[in-house]
Amino acid sequence: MSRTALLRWLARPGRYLARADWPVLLAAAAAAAFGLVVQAGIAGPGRLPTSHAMRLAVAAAALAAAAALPARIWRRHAYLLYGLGVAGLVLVLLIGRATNAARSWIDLGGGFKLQPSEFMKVGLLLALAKWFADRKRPERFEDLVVPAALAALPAALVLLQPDLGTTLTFAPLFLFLCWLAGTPWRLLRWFVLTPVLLAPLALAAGQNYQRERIEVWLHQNELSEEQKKAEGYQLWHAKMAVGTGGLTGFGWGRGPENRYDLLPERHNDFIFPVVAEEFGLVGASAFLALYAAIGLLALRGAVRHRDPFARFVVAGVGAHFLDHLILNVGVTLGLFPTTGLPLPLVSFGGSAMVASAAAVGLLLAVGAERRPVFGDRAFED
Amino acid sequence: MSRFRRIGRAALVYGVFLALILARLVQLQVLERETWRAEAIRARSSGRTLPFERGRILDRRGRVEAEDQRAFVLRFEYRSFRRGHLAGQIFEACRLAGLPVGGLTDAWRRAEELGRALLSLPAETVRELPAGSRGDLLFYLERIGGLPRSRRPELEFWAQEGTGPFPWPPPAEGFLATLERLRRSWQRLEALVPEPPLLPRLEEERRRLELRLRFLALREAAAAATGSTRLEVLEALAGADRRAFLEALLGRWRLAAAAGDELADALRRSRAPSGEEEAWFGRTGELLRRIEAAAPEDLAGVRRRLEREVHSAWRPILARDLDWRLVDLVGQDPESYPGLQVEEVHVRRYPGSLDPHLLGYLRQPGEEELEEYETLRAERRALARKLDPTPAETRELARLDRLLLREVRRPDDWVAVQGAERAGDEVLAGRRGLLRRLRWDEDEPVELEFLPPANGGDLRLALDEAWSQAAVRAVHEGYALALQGLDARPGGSAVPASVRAALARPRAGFVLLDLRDGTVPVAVTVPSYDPETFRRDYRTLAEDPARPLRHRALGSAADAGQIPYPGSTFKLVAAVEALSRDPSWWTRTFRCERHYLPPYATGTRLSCTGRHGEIDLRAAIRVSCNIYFYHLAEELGWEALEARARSLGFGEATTGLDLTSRPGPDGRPEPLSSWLEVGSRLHPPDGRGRGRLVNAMRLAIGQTYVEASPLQMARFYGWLACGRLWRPRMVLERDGRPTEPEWREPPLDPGLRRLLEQALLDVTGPEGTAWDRAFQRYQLRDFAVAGKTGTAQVGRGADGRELPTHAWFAGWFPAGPGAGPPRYAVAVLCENAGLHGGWIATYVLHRFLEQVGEELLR
Repeated sequence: MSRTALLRWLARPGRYLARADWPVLLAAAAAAAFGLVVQAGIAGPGRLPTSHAMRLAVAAAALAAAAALPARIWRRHAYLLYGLGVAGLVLVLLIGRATNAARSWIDLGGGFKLQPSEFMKVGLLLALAKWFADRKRPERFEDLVVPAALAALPAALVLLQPDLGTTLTFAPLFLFLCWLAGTPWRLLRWFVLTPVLLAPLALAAGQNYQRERIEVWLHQNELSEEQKKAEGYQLWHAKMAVGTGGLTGFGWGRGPENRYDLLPERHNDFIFPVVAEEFGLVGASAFLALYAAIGLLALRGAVRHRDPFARFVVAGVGAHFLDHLILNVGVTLGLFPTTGLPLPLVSFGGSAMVASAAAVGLLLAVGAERRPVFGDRAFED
Repeated sequence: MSRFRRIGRAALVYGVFLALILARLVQLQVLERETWRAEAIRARSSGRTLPFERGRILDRRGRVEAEDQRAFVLRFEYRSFRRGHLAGQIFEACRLAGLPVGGLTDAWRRAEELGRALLSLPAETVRELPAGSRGDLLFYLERIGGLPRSRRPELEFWAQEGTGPFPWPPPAEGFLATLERLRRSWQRLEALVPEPPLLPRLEEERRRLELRLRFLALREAAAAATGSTRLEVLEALAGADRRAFLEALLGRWRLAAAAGDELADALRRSRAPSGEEEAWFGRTGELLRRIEAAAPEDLAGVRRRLEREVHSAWRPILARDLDWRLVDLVGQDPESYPGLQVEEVHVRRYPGSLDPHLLGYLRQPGEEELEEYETLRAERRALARKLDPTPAETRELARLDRLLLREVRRPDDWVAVQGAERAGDEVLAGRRGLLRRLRWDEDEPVELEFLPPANGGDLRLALDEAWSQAAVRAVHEGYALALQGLDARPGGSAVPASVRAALARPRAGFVLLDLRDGTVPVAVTVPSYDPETFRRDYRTLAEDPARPLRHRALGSAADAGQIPYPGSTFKLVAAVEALSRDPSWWTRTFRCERHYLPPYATGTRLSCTGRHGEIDLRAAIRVSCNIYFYHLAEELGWEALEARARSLGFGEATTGLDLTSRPGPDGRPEPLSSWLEVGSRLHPPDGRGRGRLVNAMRLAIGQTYVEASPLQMARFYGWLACGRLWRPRMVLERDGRPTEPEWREPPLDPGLRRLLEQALLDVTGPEGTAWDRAFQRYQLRDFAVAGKTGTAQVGRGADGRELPTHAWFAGWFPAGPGAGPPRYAVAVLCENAGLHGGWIATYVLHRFLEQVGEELLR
């Protein structure tokens, strides 16, 4: 390495740090910190959420590692990463362990488990970003066949686990990136409308518990006492936690649904009702604002990028957080039927946290790279 | 479209969703806040009723005859047992998986073998089961295999997709270790529970429960088949269109017409009579199989639904008065003894010795009695599910809560049956309390509502335990004396075996009526029974030919041959009628030649106890001459005798006794018990028979057309003694408030009363029927008793032979010059004793007076 090259290499972190998307990182860190505080309240007095903190530490490391990789590496190996993700999904179907009736985990030993579908989300984001970045604007259905297949393959594999919640998150990401890539609405609308029209059919073919959940969701205001104790329990208690929180809430660690262990999964997919119960409308809105800021700031950041790949990746990461926020919180408030979906960085799930942190790292890495990229569509806009 | 606009529009869509979430938050947290608060209070508050202590029943002197005691009982709740105990889990899992197993005992004995068989079930077998059963089986398998909760989804996945057996943890870690631990803890328990061994008893209870489930399933199927409810099925079976209802079911279920009665019987039952369980097991099983084959939709999901309904409500008591070590063992380690619950209860105890007939008893309410409760509860459930009830609905909910808590009969209530428990129920029963607590944001639950329970008041009876015991002793001693006397008489060995048998096992009623206040200090019946074991022994007691369930002093429903005809004790009614019409009857005489052939009744030959010659009324009473009373009846006629008898309370179904009736809203006694007291009956002959004087003659000597209990006779003789026809009182005080004496005063000239008293004193005098030559020691004269003996014929038995007669004595004391005002009326009935009243009933009374006479008159 020549002296100049060495100096340039040494100066890289400085340049990198100067260009990094600090607001997104700060918002993510704040949301994670908020999550840690809520988790401490759930752990109860005198007990520390050590396990959650450890996951956060691993997630921070993943974020740093992802951020340290130059954007071109990400771009070059996007399909490889996608392939690795798909391989993980196949592997999980072969050797995976089941939790909550789904075979979603690979046992790493020593108590560590890996949920490949969470990492697949990042893989899909990269693959779609690369595919669209490398091609012209999709004008015909044929242009969308490959991206749709790219999204459908992991979605099908995840559905086989079966994990409907995670499967559903692939769809908005795909639609979002199609939209961003310039797909006209006349094409895209079929991708939006078809699932809506097919939903009743899917419901009929679905499993009993899924029909039950829909039933509970549709009649959530007139649940019988039996339903409140059985299939409607989760939603009913979640809404009760939110509703009783009022304006300012019961205070940290003092929500009865939390402290009396009435709300299941409250450290995981149903953490938002705990936030609303203990911090009230004020706290819950602040939390929503903080979390939405990750996504919205990322979208704002994406606008600055002329390089489509960087733009797609940065906006995609933002969409990833916004999708999860809307679906997760919507489910806990009874806006959508119940489906298991974590709130990345805040819920307990380790894989989602690490994958999402890695996604933030990816956003920082890609976002810091401002070199002109001479791809097919570099000057299109 | 520029990248700005594309991203901008996407951000806008996200913004819309975020706004929607925010709006929803505002809706739930601000607009609906109160609703959710109320909902949370409902959901997080837990209420429990606080039991009350039922009042005591005391005897005249305040001795406790009935009281609530706190005790620990061991209850068996099958639902927890089958879910929590390996024996229950293995049994239920075998049942679901179709593995042959012979009940809990068998499942426990073969636990290791059956457990291994269950854990090696292939997924394919599990998959074949209907969804409900599959879920249940997986639950049991999970427990048997000792699978951690977190691996449940894996198990479900195996059942849906897997092949072969599930990879269970090694048996040595899970299943066998649990088995070993449970066996040890079960042994510890068995050592403390009184015999017989516990598990066979659990199996017995389980079978009872299973039978109940089957009965209910039949009723449920009938309800499903006819589109009605279980209660409506019962109503239809009791209604007029019962036939049509049954035929519809028989047709639908393709059952033979001959099975109609059996089906109707099965549909009405909720348990089998003891001893017939096995037969009913078979019958119900067969019926259910036929229904399943003919109309499976009638039974769809019924078993699971009923299991939920019945299994946790079925909590029979396995052992009472638990050893404290057992309370500790089960209380401190409930996990080792699932389904066994130590519970502190109020137990009704009857520590005294008063007749259980009079004390009554408590039982649990039956299904029909809980109908109102179930209806209100269903209404309450429907209201409680509303998320945002209107103020009117909230008020209605509170009203239903109040009704359900205290106003209607609940499953945890006791129903008082007969006697003092029933008559004094309003005083004895307390009011249950309520404690509702809320888990809110405090460390300790907040008390929302506390209604303290109100214990019941005491009921003090007029019955005196010590005197009653003396009366029972007197009956036994009197009978022994009579037997002794028979043997001592010349030709005593010729005493019929039936009489000897009757004397060996006394059947008697004894009543003492206090003439100062109408109270009844003694009303005993022999034989009696033990209230503590009454329920267990009920069948034996009901079938005992000595009829210990009857109260002979009150005269409750008698079999033929035991009907209490008053015999000669009734002659005084005829004498009163004659003297009231014409005082010259006192001196009129008739001739007694031992037999009498009434000129108008050809072929009827009436007889007397002896040849009394020319005889007047006083002597006729003394020697109990029938012929005199036949002549008297000839002149008076049926109508006059009947009218007199009725005016003195004969022929009334009850005496107005306050244990068998209580004053109704209009002040008239309202019957509480239809059988405990029968009082007296008059059976007037119909049509021409009324005119036949021979029937009036039979009535005049207390035969054929009149029945009277000892209480009735004591009441009548009490009137002779003091002019008051008392309404007998057995209750002295209700919750500390004395009851009011009540009487009637059918007119009787004092002069006539004195004459009759003289005649009755003659009866106990040296020439009278109550004077016993053989036993000079036992003269009622010693206690200044005036009265009348009676020997009532009771008809012929199935073999055509004359049944042993009843022996009676009825009268009062003290009587006679210088004895002071009469204090007590008394009546003794020695049922089918086969002896003359003067031989045995007087002995009984004498033995009684000898023991307590002095105290009585003090």
